[in-house]
Amino acid sequence: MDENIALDRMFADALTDAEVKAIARNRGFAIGKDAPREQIKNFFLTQQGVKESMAALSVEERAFLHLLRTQKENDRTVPLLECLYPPPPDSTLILSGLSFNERYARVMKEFRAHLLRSGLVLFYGINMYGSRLANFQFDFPKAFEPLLPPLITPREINAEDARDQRVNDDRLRKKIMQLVDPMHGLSSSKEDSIGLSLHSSGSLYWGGKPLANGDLLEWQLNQAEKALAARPAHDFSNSLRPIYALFYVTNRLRPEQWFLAEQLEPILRVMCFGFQYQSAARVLEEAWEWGVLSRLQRDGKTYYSPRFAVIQNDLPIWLPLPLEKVFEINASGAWADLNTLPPVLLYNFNLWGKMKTEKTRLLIEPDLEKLTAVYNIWSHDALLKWLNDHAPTFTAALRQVGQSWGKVNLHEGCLVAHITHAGLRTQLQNEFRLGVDYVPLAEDWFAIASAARVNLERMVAKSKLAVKWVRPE
Amino acid sequence: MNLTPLTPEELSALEVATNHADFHHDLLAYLDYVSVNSIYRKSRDETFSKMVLKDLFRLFTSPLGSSENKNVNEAWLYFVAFLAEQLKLTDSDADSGDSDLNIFWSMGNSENYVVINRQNYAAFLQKSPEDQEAAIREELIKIDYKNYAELLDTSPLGRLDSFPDWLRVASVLKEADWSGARQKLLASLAQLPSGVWLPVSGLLQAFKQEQPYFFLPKNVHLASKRLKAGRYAGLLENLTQYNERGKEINEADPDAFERVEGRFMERFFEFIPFLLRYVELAYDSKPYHGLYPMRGVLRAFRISDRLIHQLKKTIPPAQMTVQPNFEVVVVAEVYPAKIMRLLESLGNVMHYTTGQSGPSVITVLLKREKVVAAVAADDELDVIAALAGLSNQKLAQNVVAELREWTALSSAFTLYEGFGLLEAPPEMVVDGASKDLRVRISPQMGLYARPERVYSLLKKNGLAPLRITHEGAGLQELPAGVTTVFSTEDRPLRPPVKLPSFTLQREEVIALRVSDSKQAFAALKAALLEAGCPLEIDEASSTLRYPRRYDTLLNAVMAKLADYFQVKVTGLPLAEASTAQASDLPSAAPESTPAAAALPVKPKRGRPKSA
Repeated sequence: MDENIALDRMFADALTDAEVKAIARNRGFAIGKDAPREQIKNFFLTQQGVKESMAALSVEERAFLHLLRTQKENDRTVPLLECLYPPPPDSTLILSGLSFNERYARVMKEFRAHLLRSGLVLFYGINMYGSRLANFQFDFPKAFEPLLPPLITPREINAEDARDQRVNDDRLRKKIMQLVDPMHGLSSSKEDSIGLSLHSSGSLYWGGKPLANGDLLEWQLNQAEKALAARPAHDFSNSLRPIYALFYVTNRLRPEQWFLAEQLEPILRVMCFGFQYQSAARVLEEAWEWGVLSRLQRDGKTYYSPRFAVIQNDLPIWLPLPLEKVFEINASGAWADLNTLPPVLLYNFNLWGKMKTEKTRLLIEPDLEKLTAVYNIWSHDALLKWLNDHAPTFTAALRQVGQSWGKVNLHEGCLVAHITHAGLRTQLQNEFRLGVDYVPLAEDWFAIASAARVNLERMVAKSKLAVKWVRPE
Repeated sequence: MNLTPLTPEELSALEVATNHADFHHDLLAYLDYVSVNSIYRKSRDETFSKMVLKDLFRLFTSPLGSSENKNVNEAWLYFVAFLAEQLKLTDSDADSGDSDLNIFWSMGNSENYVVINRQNYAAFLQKSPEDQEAAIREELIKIDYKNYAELLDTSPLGRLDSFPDWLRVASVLKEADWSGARQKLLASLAQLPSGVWLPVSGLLQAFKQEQPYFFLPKNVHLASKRLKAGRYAGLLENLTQYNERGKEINEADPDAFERVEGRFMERFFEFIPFLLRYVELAYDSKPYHGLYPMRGVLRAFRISDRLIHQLKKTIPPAQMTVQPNFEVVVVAEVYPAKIMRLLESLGNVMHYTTGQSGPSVITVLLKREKVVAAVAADDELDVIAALAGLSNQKLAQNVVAELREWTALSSAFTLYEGFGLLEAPPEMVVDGASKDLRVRISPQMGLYARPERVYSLLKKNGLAPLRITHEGAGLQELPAGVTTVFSTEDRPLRPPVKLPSFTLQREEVIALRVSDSKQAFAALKAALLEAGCPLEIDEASSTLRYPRRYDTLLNAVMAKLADYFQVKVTGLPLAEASTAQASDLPSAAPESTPAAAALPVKPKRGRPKSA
């Protein structure tokens, strides 16, 4: 629902006067808590006092707001509040016998008394069948999203100090070894049927498609999720699976940011409500087993940090590795040992290289066509930069591409129009979008998007003229 | 053969029937339609869908002229379709369906699509109009009696009924010389004078005397036990039109020839001669009381020149004139298919009068957009030369000038599709690529016929060509740093932004917020409205708003309310009553107005003090 309509409904009939006053107080509106409802309403969707109000929230409440924004509109209803205000333990059987109102009156009371008064959630009635309680919906205003604080405050430990961290690449390594031995490491499970293979063109393929960014991570997460085997509650399906909740929580953390299982515990309790898993520590352990996280012992505590590639400019940012230990450079290209190669680099290789295997070694050579495609961003790719500095084949290839890159462009799939009629030229420029629908090429020549074809023919017909088509014989 | 023409008195007692449709034209229209649409026939009754019928009715000429009759039009249309199949110009096809759904609807009978037989159709179109017409006539003559027979089927435009269908296999009719009889009858008609009404009975008597076995052979080969009635064994007459067993016609009867060959002749007239507009017919207008199938109802016929000309192959050539008002008039006895194919691509048919005794007249108005489109579609078409070649008069100067201008407009908008557009400095374009160069747009740009090959050549020559496929909703944006006329990430092409404009009217508004009493709010609202104050009312927050210039009205209203309420004013103080009150403002309403109804009963105790 449109946020303004939701806001009108919220202030018209969902809030009590006390709640309106509490919202004005918690958000610290300059007009004061005694200002008329209408005025408080007008300030609600501004960012006034959002930061302060968010700072006052508990970890669970913040986790709930994060969960709320992952939910579809129809699922943002009263039952979702159970994630934040869970029923007392061992009450499942009792709850299942209750009516909707009996079951959720308690959570609604809690919600009205706490989170609602923070002034961060839209709360309004929709006109559906059922009780009034069942007709309430929530929304987290879009304008507040940038101000939502991260769920975890990590401890910073730089790479130098974290040299004793441990990453478990074993399982992913088995998968990578499929490049030299297709049967290697294949689990008996039918569900892990995605194979990594080397195409004759020298490109890596993942389950029949070129290896894409995130394919390996998705596989790792899926496998960890399967191993964890967290069962969802039979009557609740809106929360996140533990591994994905973990991914959601940590995917903005940098590799030098570390956190503890205790920090994750209350978050998972809200975000994974209904799932049966042992503990946050167990979830972290499983994620570590599958190489998603790195582990570090400090002060008698176990810290974790994400080990999946953070994507910037379409390229995975990988850890600063001593690359001279990874590659052996010779005249044919760069050789890497599959037994020690950091798996995340495979996607980079696939972006601009062609590969060959020899026993357990992988030869990476520059692929001119691929290099042309990524040439404009190659300076962001630290790996390619390193190879340019150290491997002569890459230096030569990049120099060759650089000489003509951006000067020779072959366009396909667009129409080219030759318009000698001045009126039609003006009409084209008035009725179509420059840069998107058409681009002027020369005096009366235009490149035209295929999608504009129908409208173009209509425009010409309206002028009582006809399109003369020319196609290659 | 000498027949006595009907007198005007005799003719006046008859009802004349004329066929206004042009079989030849309609057949070509049907074939054109089928060549671009595959038509589905319902498996149950082999009919076309309503949509197809509607389309075809629009394209066809109407047999009854201006008086439309859906049944007659449909019968005519299906007969045209039937003949197209007989001529092997269309086929039934299983695989041309639009979707599997249609296969489902066809209930397993998948051969329900009518499709064009491209080879035969092309060959048919190659023929001259006269030969096309002759082919149609020949096909009608040689139609097998199992598919169509005058005595067993009703002509699409006929009024006469038929013998029951089972006689097709169980009577002497299967031994009749159908084609020969049609041939002989047509030949004899060609010998008769045109333009005069002649009696059918006269022709019948002439055949009875001169060629009594023109239809049924002298000796028939039916099993002897069934030959009790002689040559006409199995042909039955009934008292009613219903298909019941009646009385067999006996060869020995003196009028047996009239009862069998006579019936055939009447129905023959309704078939080839009438369908092809070779004759007009005159029917008895009185109700029929004889034995069925009907006979003696078709009384007279009038032969047109078309019949004589066609059978004697003396057809005058089509005449075409292009008039200075851009109307092209074509006069032709046979539908001028080739001329019309050209003219329909250049203009709209305005009138089509099918001639009965004389030629048909077709008027086409040349249209600019059609001429432009026709020349755009066919580079080699020289409209002026084509029209001048066909016209029997020199084209008018204004027509030539205009046509020349229209022709020039055909290349006003040329679209190249399927080419590769190469942007490259001339020194980087490899030599081998020039083979595929079709258009050089500028020194840096060219259109190439085989982009794939050009791309490989560029790569082979050590260049790093960027290959951009413009798919989806618009043209792709190229990476930053590329030398191109297209939009790039660092130099996006955007239309000049036109900022939307708006008008802002500023005014001061006074808000009156009434707390504690809904009744006071209602009274204040009513009094202010009564005083003519334009209010914005917010019932939920008990707030009234009005422009500041109306603020002076409030004093009077407040004074009146002071009789009923104790008022405490907070915030802005009340405006001082101005002596120079704005002249356009209304004065406060007197107490007797309807606003007084909103006020509570005046308290009996003394007036409360206002704060």
